[in-house]
Amino acid sequence: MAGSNKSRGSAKIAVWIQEFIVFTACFLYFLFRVHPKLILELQSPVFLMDINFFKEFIQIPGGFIDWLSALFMQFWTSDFFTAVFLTLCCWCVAFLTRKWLEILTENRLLHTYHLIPAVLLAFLHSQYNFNLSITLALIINLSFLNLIIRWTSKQAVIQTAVGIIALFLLFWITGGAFLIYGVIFGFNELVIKKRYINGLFILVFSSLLPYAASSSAFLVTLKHAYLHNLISDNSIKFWLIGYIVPLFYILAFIVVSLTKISAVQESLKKIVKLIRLGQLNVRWQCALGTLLIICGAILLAEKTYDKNLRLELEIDQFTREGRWDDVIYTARQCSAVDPLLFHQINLALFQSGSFLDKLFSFPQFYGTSGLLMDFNWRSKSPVKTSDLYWKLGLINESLHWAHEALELKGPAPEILKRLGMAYMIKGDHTAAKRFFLNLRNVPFYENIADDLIRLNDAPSELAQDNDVKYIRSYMLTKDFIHLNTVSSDVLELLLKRNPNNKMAFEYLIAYYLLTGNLNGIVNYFQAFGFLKYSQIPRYVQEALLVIASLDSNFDQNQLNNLVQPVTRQRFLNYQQVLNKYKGNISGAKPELQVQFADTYWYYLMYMRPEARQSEKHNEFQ
Amino acid sequence: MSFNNYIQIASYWIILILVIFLCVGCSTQKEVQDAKPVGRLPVIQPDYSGIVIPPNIAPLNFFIQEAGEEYIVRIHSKNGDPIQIENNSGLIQIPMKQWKRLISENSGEELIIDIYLKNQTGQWISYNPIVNRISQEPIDGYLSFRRFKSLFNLWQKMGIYQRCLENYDEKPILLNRLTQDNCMNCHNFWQNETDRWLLHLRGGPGTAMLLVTDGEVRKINTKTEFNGHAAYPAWHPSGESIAFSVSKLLLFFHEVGECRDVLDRSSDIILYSISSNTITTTPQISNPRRMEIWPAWSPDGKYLYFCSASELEAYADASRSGEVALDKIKYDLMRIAYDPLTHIWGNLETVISSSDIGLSITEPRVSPDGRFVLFTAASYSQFPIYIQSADLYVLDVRTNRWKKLELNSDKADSFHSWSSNGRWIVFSSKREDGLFTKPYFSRFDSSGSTSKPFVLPQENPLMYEAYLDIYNAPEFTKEPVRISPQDLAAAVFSEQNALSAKFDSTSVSEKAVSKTNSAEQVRIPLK
Repeated sequence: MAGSNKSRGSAKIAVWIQEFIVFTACFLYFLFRVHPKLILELQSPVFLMDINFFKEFIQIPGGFIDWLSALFMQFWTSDFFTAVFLTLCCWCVAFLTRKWLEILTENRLLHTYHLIPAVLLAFLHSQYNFNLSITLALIINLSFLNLIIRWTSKQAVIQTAVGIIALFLLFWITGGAFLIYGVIFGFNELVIKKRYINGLFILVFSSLLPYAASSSAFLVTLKHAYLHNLISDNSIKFWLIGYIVPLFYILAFIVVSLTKISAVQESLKKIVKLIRLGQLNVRWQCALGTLLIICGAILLAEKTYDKNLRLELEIDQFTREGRWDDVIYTARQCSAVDPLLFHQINLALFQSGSFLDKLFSFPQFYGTSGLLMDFNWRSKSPVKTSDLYWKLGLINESLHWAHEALELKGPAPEILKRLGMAYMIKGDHTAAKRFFLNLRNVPFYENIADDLIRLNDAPSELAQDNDVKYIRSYMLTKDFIHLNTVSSDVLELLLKRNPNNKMAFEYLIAYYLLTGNLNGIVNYFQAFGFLKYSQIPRYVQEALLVIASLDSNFDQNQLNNLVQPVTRQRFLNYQQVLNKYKGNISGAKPELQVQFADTYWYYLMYMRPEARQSEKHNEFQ
Repeated sequence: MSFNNYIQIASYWIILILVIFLCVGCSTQKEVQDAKPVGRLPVIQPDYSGIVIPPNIAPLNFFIQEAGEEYIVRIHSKNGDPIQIENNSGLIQIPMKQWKRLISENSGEELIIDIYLKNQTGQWISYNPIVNRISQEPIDGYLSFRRFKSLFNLWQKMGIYQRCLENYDEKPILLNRLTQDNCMNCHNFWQNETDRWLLHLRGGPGTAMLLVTDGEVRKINTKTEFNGHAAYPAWHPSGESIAFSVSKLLLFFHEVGECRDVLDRSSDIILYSISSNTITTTPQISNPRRMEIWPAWSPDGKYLYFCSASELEAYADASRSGEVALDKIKYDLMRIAYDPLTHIWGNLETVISSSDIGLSITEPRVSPDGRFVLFTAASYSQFPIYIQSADLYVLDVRTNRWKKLELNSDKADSFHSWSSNGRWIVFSSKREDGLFTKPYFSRFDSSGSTSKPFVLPQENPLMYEAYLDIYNAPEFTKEPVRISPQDLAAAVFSEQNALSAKFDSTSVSEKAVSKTNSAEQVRIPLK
């Protein structure tokens, strides 16, 4: 007996070591590969310390867990803490799964199997778009499941009654995820406890509860009632894994139940004997299991990991944090292309002071849509749109897109702050205060909100505030009407309002370059002197060479003064390659691409037609 | 010690505690009697001072915006026991039963609110009493409205709600999370009843009108070969037909001042007959040279009021090619005679010309007795909610005189509805911050004068302070909508009761097509 206890003890240690190895690997994977704080770039869980905010959540099944997830995510302040949190969640799932399997297998010591759902969840979280609420809902359901099936009441009716009450409660707090609890509890009553009526009743009840609830007490769709927090609402790669996690528990139950049939037991013994697994002690079995699960995990990681998505999210994060050099550096490693990415690259180039010198060092596939974004992309990233307009000095447009962001993303702190600031700067102090009061309810933002409320309540102090003075000096004072399109017209107005608005100026020149409006550049040529540029930026020089080549009357002396010899020489080289192909533009493209892909001439000749199509296609009608 | 001794000791303690409470109470009473008057009204939020209230309204909870350590509020009237509330937060939440009893026993009397507070030096001070009046005429029991965030192009959460005005119960009529997050609007009730009403759905499972008649829900596509989808409904008093606007509206943006604005590119008015599922019109209300919008029936059903302006091309800005002079677009108030028995349209009249009033007239609503037409007037446009100059005006049909109402603010006041007895109006106002519309109520007397408006009362009087939703298109109903949101949502997806309206082409000249359904794209007259 003592020997048996000792060997069980040592086997337990082996399982703990296995768990330790797997979850350490999981933690390191999160920390160094996934950078889990980036999840916040894709999911922006808004949270207010406000009773009305809470009430909205508890009105729908699963809302409580959504609220709890949003609360937890407020504390994801670093990759380290987030990785610890997610690893702990996965470990909880593994621990509760092991406990449940132990009951199911009559206290057999288990290893490896219980890690499967935890490892799968880890990979789902590494896709950034997977909701934390699903994992939390699973943990809560597994906890209740362990409690209810471990509880041995003398009266079966009481146990069933408590189980059904828990069923209601779990449906309300976790949503469709309660089905994991309901189905397994029902099967447990039916197959293990042999309480056929109770089991059938629980199974039928579980399957009908979401239908009944969505038809009466809760205003949600049937799909929401059954699936919310059970599988991901967001699109994720390898979405099947999302289904495998809940199915694992049902399959495990079926498999374990089958092994209790004597004929199956005999067959299993034969198989074990055949592959000589029984000869291995638990420690070796654990080692083999660990190896298998880590190999499987590596395979899965390779399949599910999306490097470009990570880089894009990093770019989002760096843009938000104003780390412009990091944006440019990361963008060079990223092979994804979309107008939002180009918008951020262009913004970073401007902020780092090299916009018109490096604009075409990134292929501007999207033309002006990559500069100011089109309506569709603005709708996808309203916060960034609002930021862009704010920086340009278009306060009403910034306000407009902050309102769109509020509608689409909810009262996130940066949105509340932007709205409050915009109304405050416009002089609408009562409206501003409303947003600042909400900001006060965001965890960690109370002091910022208090400062803003104080500033908002003191118009004389506000007028002296440097940031406010700066923005007010850029704000348009003459009305301009538009249909959701910000183009060169608005940029020109911004420059008229304040000729020192360097961002408006560089964006306007970039706009002209991207649209091939060379006359526009000529019209604003004097502004380079006014804004104290030490030399004409590279791409303006390249544009000037194009202008001069098209206009025989162009003052060559002026050209020589403005264009550096190295640029002139490159233009000659470019023309030589074209001449080599006797004007055959498509024939010359491969050679030009190798040497001149980063020039304005190459953009004008090869990319602008495509970029124009893209602009046309994307523009809001 | 015996059990009796314990009882005795306990009794002494109870008596001692009671005595202490009485002493404290008496001293407070005495201190309040000796309170130093400050000679002004207290500042309370919401502002419920100097108003007329219905005898069936929910308690008007408020917050005292005066710094104090303790607060005592005494609410009293001629009859019945006063209500006394004491606390140290200044948040005054009036007990429902006592409030109901007090205001129902005192209809037609004054309702006085005395406020005392103890300041930081321990001195009790008193303010001038707030004197309100309890009207004898009750208000309709329910208010329905659309609730969402301040909307620009995109939306996510939206719903039509109903609120019981006699308490704080608020329930959804329909939420867009049940209908694929679509847009819903234009909820409208026949004579403030809920057995005949409608709302509109845009996008999602299909743009259509949900028409509820005696518990049956029909989903009707109002788009025909003549017209686009209908909006801005007006029930004919017979309950058998509904007038609508069919408009091509365009949201655009300003870079200075109010962000949003809406341009009417073309509008017509049509009449939908419920029994025959047909749409008719007459050239007088779908004139190609004019834009007709915002229909409203007179209670006898013999006149259709509406707003009308010249076609958009008439406002072309001569100085700027391809643009319109927005500030010149002004709508007249018109009416056309109609015979409900023969369905024959009569003569068209200009009731108030925009040139006379110098403003653009929209949203006419005729009082239940037919004597008054309440309308919104703004500096330009047919969409006053985005124009801060929008105010409410009233036309006395008997004298044909109009006036600006006393209840207006310097922010947009618009979209109004009459209670069934014609003694109360509700309207949307942005008076507090110029951004969030909230429903305000005002008593409308027989001479056409209004009382100081008050905002929809809430259980938590500070709710509005940080509330980010707006209340849109408030409409009175006498009773709640009884059909469940789930049943309405089911009807949205059901094809069983789905109908497509037919257009009766005999009502207009041959080959006529409404401006709102022309195949040719209307040129956007803006940059």
